[in-house]
Amino acid sequence: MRLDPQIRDFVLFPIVIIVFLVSVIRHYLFSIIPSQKPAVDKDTQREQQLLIRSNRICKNANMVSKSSLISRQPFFLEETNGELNQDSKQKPLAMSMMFDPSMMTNMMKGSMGNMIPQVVLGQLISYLFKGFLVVKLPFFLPARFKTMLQQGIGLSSLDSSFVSSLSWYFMVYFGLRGVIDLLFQAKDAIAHSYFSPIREQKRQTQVPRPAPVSASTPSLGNMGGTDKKDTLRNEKENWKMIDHFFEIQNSELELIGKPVNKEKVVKNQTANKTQIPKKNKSQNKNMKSTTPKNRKRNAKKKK
Amino acid sequence: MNKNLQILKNKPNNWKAARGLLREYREKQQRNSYEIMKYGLPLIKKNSKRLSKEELFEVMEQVFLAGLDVNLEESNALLLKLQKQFPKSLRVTKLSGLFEEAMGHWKNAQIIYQSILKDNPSDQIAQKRLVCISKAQGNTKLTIQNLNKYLSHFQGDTEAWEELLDLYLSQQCYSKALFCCEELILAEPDNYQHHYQIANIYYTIGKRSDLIKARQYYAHSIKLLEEQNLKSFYGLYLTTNKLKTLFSRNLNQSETQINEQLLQFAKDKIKKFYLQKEDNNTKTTVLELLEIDN
Repeated sequence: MRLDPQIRDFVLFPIVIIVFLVSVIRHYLFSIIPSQKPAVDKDTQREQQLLIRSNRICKNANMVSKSSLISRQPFFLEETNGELNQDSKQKPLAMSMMFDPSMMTNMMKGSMGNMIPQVVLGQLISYLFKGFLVVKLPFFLPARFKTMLQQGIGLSSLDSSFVSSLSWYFMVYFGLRGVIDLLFQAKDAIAHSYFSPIREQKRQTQVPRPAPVSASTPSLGNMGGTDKKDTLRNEKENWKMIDHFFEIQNSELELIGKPVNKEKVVKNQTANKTQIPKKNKSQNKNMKSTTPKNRKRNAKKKK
Repeated sequence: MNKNLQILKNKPNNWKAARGLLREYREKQQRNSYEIMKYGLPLIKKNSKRLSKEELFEVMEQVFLAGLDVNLEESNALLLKLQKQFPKSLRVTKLSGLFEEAMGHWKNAQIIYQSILKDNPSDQIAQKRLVCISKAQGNTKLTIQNLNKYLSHFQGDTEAWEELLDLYLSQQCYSKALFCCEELILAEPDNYQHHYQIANIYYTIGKRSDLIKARQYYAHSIKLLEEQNLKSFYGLYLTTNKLKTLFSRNLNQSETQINEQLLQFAKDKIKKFYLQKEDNNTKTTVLELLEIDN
């Protein structure tokens, strides 16, 4: 079965050319419209940095001694004043933000800028090139795809790998994305200095992934405005998961070929889970226990 | 050596190599001011038409920054050009602040940065430069205060922690320096230099438990990098030696054995390193000293 040369000349190639030109025009258009920098306010910035540091500490806690870890805990975890027990001051993405002009341009460029031309072109192409088959896909597709891929053709018994121009459009669209990236790669290869806005954005957006939130705390992800309060509290999960073992002590044993300590309790270093130091009244006093059993024992000792 | 640099040594007028070299330096954010000035300035003056507009101004900024180290006049000229091209740009204002700093006009620089902060209170660079001004003026105490204030806001800034570490070490506040060094290790656990640094601090403090920690951190630094890390081997040797001579009473038998083995290990490695080298004074001296048994 051969493809009609007229279909090939007036359908296949034009679709490719159209998609290519639209992509190129869109690329230049976006580079002309300047993207507004989302203004990070001071509180958000401070919290982002706090989370980065907290994350790093929890991740690499085994590289420092237990006492160092304990000395950092009150700053983060103390009941009233610890950083991770505060309400997050980050402003939630309320609906009113959507109409802020700087956010508008960003959003337009982001999702809409890609979606709208795609939808419009798709409609255009399925209108212009309707009613005939264009390509035969080299792989077999189940029958359910027929309605999607054979728009405008009413043959229910036709093999599902024969598709209409719309599906050819989709294939070309996704295929040419890689080619377009390669084409404009040389242009974007100019390295950027420390002061350029691209580097600044990279520095600002180093926000770590939030701690795994347990099932008990309902969270709507990025959509909800109410749960932004707890971004800092959710980080506490990371701290609870630290199982500290001072790994550095093994390095010297490795150098001389001795068997290493894995999780054993080593002298001067306890391998317990981290505990938040409580402010006990009797912390500094003599720690003799005074339960009834021990009272008797102590009384006997005195004698 | 860098491929582009090699080409430029032979043919200094090769604009492609110059552009490539400058791109590399921008990508890796290296501060080779002399080379940037030497090859970047002709690129701007003679071959400016070969660069796209966007890149031309990036190169101008790069050469400007290099000129702050080597040639202030050229920097001034470049700054004027940039100001003419981008009159109300925040980025160029920061550069003008840097220029004032390089000239030593601290008051002017402070005014510039504070005006930047009035309009953009979350600007990181301006806040950092204010700390740098107090450091450049030599006022260590004030710098430490300002840096602490900066760090309370930007806790993830590794560079700033390094700077604070240096400042504390210069003031011999070893416990605070330890805290900063731990921050560095927590931030970059694979960097052998941080482990070496913290081992140095522990060795300097010098109590028994600190010496053991120092020994462990030296060992870890060696584990991370063995090739060009002779200083860690020296550290290990010195620590184990000190433990052996000063604290031999306080170590139980297994610890003494570990210590002895590490001492021998460090000694052998240092010897091996020097035996590979050509004969010179250092070599003979070191080998003699190593032979002296304490």
